[in-house]
Amino acid sequence: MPALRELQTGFAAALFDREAAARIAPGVQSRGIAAERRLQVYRNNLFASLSGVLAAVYPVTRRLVGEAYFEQAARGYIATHPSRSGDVHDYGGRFAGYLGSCPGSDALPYLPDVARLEWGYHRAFHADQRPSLDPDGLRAVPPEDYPRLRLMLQPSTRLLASHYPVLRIWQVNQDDWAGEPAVDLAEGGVRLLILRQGVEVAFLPLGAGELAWLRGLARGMTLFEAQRLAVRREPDFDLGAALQRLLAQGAFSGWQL
Amino acid sequence: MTVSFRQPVGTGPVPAYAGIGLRSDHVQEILDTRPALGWVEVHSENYFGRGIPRHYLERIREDYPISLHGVGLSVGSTDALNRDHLAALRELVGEIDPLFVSEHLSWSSVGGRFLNDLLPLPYTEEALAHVAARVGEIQEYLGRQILIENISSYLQFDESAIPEWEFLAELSNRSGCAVLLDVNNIHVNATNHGFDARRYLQAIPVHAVREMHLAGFTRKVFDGGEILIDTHNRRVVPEVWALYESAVARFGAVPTLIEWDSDLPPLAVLLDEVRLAQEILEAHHARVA
Repeated sequence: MPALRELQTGFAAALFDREAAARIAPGVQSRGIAAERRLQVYRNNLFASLSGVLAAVYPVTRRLVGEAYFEQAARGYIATHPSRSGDVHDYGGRFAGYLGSCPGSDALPYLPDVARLEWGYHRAFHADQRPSLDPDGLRAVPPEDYPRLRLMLQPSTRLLASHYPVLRIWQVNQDDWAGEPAVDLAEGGVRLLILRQGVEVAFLPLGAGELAWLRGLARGMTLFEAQRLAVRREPDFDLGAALQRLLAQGAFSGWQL
Repeated sequence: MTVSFRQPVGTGPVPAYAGIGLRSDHVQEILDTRPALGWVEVHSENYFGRGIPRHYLERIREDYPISLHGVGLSVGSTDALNRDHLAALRELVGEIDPLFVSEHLSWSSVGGRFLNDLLPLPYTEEALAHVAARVGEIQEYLGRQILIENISSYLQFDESAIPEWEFLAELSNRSGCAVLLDVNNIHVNATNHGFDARRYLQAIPVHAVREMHLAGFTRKVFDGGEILIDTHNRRVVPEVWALYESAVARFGAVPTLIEWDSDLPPLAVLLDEVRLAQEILEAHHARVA
């Protein structure tokens, strides 16, 4: 292996593993400060910067568990889930699942879903918004073609279903929230479409049929295939009403036959 | 100070202006108050997704020239160049039409694992040939010259055989890239590694330097010594201002940026740093005019 490749591989390992650090330390000049200490500066930078990234993506999660727990969870996540992208906004997508596996997590069973909601917000915030399909745009489709019509969702859309009132939890933990600070978990679950609307990210509560229908569309199903899914979840599902409502919210960017 | 800041950088009575690194917390205030800034610099990756930040960048761009400063391309890595990253950068460059596109003399990933930091290279002939080829590849792909910035480092590898300043000068010479000279990083490294910062300046070809950076650092004390860490979280220290004056004397009044990334102060503090840099640029201009 060329020397540069070997050095980079060894250095990267040293940031996660002290034995690996001991292996490369002899190749680092000390100039009065032990090589291990110098490597520690880089290890601190790595963990502090990625932990800062997670804190920025998951502020409500952090508030719910407290700074100390969050830091510990972040360190564990960083050690086991390396970043795979040079765009750090891609980092942290599996943190919700990781939180659910952390010791003590059963005390806050809603926590992973709150984190999923925050990840959805983050991705929608950084997503493109294409021109929205408006109802007039659909008039070009002949009625006989409706069965094989496919609608394209905006790139920012994310669907989330939770057994817990995670939107309420998120709302009461915003800095500018002035209302009742408590959330009754017995309120029950929520189904959401997360969607960028201009310079805002919107959370749109969905019915069971709407959620199933949108899931179908997101998987590339035709309007009617997705409708079959929706009716299975909600026998009274009204395709026309759902279509009208979501068109009005700007959820679609186009159609295909 | 009576300067029109809306002129393009590099023209007009004052040949260059000072600017700031744009951080999201300051965007609204800048849009509302339109402060006197020559230009702003942003981290390229923050705008890759065409998300909400891009909307605000487009508005900032109506009044200020923009430069794109990459932190994730991992120029010095021995992994293959990340084509998706490069394609996203090219698209952004095409849409923003920046003053400069810059990257770092460092690596940040290996084996597909990104370490989210600017990591030091060993200054060897192998590394020089590797980085020069990569910079060449990036410039060819983007269809433009890029600027490469010297980084702060906290260790040196035994195998380094070339002084950092020679490595940077030779990189520019071989690849045709320009230099983004971070004056604070020179001060930090001169302290951390025991060299003469002014000797560094003397080694860099005058024509190569197109932009300079200024920032604050943190001093960390260890058994056996101290390490200066490039934290971008405080004001520029007097020694770095003095070194900057030497740099301006050598390289001329090139566009200069105040960088501040953590413990972000009110915008007024950054604008005051900009004023100090601008005074040095204008004093130089008065001397050579």
